[in-house]
Amino acid sequence: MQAHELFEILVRENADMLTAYVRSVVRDANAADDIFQETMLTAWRRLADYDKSRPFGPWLRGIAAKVMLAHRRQRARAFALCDEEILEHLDARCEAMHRQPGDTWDEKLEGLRDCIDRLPERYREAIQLRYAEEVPAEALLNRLQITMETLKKRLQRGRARLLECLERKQRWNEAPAAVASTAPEDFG
Amino acid sequence: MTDDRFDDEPIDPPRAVAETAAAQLMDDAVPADNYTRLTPAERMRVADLQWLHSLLQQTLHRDAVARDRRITRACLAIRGDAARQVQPAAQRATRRPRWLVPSLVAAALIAVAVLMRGTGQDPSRMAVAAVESTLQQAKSSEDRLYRVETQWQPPGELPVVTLTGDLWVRGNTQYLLRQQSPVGDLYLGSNGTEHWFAAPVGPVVVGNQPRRFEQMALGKPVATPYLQITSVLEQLSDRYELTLADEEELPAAEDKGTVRCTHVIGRKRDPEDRLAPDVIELWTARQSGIAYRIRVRWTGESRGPKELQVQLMPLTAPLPSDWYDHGPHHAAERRVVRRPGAALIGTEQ
Repeated sequence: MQAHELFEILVRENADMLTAYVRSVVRDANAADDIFQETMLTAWRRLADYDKSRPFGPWLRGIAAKVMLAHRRQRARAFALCDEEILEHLDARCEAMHRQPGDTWDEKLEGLRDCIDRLPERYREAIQLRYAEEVPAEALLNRLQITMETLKKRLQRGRARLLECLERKQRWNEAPAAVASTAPEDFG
Repeated sequence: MTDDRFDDEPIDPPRAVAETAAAQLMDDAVPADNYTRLTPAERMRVADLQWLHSLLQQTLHRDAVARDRRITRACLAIRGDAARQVQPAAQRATRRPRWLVPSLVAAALIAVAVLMRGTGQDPSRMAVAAVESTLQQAKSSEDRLYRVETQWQPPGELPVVTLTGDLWVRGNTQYLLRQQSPVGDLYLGSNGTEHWFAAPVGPVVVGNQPRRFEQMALGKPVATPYLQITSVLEQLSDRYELTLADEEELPAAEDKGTVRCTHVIGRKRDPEDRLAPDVIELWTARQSGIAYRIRVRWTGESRGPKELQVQLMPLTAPLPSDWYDHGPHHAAERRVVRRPGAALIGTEQ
């Protein structure tokens, strides 16, 4: 197998993780795709610098963080909160997700699905309509027969509850023990 | 309205600021600059909510097509880079890991083989693929600059007029055309929500009906869709019979060598489609997949645009964030007229 073929496997295996990381600070979908591509291309070009004894995911996120910080200076409007500290914090969240059971990123999202299922109906409905169907706000209000203020509260409270649930499941407060040595995504 | 008593549960006050900030950042696309005074704990809480927001997008709205497109685009860029590096890599063998050089040579061969297999070596399919990949590139949010040249046939026996201008584009919603005119530059632009037109004299007009403003600038509806690179490529893909011509080396900007381009020629399928130009030619850069030159020709019209060509130019510095707004392109004291009903259209990614 040739180098670029190996690398393309890594692109596919890390695509969802990298997308989640990038989209957590880049609001604009097109800008996020550009950063995704630039990160992968930069990683490919710097492959000689990669330490094969270390996990690939954090190395890739390190490149993505630099790319995002560079892009943020040019396209501030496409970004939510983004600085080195925030990116480091999000990197830790990625690692916590990485420790979840399951081989694929999608399987690791099972915990979040469970949290969504446990939400009170009024919050779950608002969250699902907001994300799953991407229903415009006005249509959402008609459908739920609530005011904009109530909808915002439900989304806000629903997210707060999901965050608590995720925090418990992923044990964010615990130190990541020997994560690097167990990463299944090692390149080599 | 439903009973919303449960929605009045108090939010833990220290978290309320962060949660409101996060909601405004994610749901209302409020600029992040508004939240510079959050405490460190609040910032981390916002970061967690941003993370959750991203995971919810993946969990509840899994877009397999977008995912595949993202991966394919990255892989194609890597293959292109691998192929491009073959020669330099061989020359720099002493500075690169030895295993990488033969790998890159083989990678280039594999890339070519995969590309040929993918299209079945059918030139028309390769032409379609070239247009599609160029369209995807054009939809990216990177800023690009094109030089625009329009050959215009005035009424009567007057000679053809050549108009030149500069066109900046970002994705498929934002653009700015600066067109030279005998009395000064005129500007036509869109920041994705507001469309605006600023002539050298008179008020600056702002609204939300793009075609109206494009017609004001170019004077004829037939030419209006060709300001948007993505519109041209979509038309080319949907309404034209595509053929693949020989690859061409086009001169690079500032005499910096040449750019190898795939050349696609599109001829309109329906001759009765009078508004559509007869021929659209696309030269797309082989390495980057970016639309390098587009030439649009009308052969049947006795007056109006005869030919329009856009040519990629180097963008020497990052554009300011408000580049596609009207403000930076006219004097502050100019009167700005908002057309009735020109309310802003909210967008969310």
